[in-house]
Amino acid sequence: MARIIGGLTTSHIPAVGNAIHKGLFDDPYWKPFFDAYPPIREWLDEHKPAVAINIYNDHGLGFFLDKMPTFAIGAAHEYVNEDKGWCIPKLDPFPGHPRLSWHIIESMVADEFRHHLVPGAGGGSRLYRADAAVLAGRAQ
Amino acid sequence: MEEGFHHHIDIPGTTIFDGEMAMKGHALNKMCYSFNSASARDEFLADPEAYMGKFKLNEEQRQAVRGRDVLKMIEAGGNIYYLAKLAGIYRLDMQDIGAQQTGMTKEEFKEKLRRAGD
Repeated sequence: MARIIGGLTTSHIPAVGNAIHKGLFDDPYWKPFFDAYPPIREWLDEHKPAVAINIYNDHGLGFFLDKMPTFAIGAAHEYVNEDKGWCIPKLDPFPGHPRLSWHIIESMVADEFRHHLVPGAGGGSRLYRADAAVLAGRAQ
Repeated sequence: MEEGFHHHIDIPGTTIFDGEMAMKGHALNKMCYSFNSASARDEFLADPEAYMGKFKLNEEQRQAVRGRDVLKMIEAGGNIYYLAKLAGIYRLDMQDIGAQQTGMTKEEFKEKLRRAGD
C-alpha cells in the first residue's frame, strides 16, 4: 500500500528552465525564487520518496488544440523531454512507473471516470485520457 | 458576437482563449506548435513570410508576427502557450511578454512582481 508523504509545488516551469539555463540564480529578480529550493531538496534527501507523481500543464508540447484532453495520465516506461521552443538544452529522459500509472488508471475507471486512449508522445508510450466534463456529470 | 461560444465570465481587458478564439487562431497556433522542433524554428527564421504562408496565416496574424507584438497575436486568436514558442525564437522571455501586456518596461514589470511578493 502506497503512502502519500507530501506535495511539492513550483510555478512557471518554462520560465524557470530558461532562468536555470541562463544561470540567473543570484539575479535579484530570481534569487528569492531559487532560495526556496534548498529546503525542498533537504526534505527530499530526508524522506526519500520512492515515486514522484508529476502533475503539470502540457504547455502545448505533447498536445495541440485538435486533440486536447482536460486530463491525461501518462503510463510510459520513459518520459522524453523537449525544449518547448525555448531553445535551451534538453534534459535526459527520466523513467516512468507503468505499474503505478496503470493502477491509478484502472482505479479511476472503476470509479467511473470515462476514458479515451490517445497516442502518447515519444517513447512508444500511450496516455490515458479522462474527460472532466463527464466526471462532473457523474458527480451530480 | 455569435451565440454559444462564450460560456465564461467577462474579464475587462483580458482575452479569454475560448472556442471562438480557438477557431480564429488555429493557423497561428498550429504554426507556433511546430516550433517545438528546432528544424521548424530554423525554417521559420530563414524565411518567415514563406513559413507563415505554409500555415496559411491571415494578414492580421502575419502583421502581429512581423511586429513581434504578442498582444496583437492574442487578439488574432493566439494562445499564450503556443505563442511562447514564437517568443522563444526571438529570445523573448515571459517577463518581456508581461511588460508588453502591462505597457511597462521589462525592468518595471519585474519590479512590480518582486514587490508583490513583499
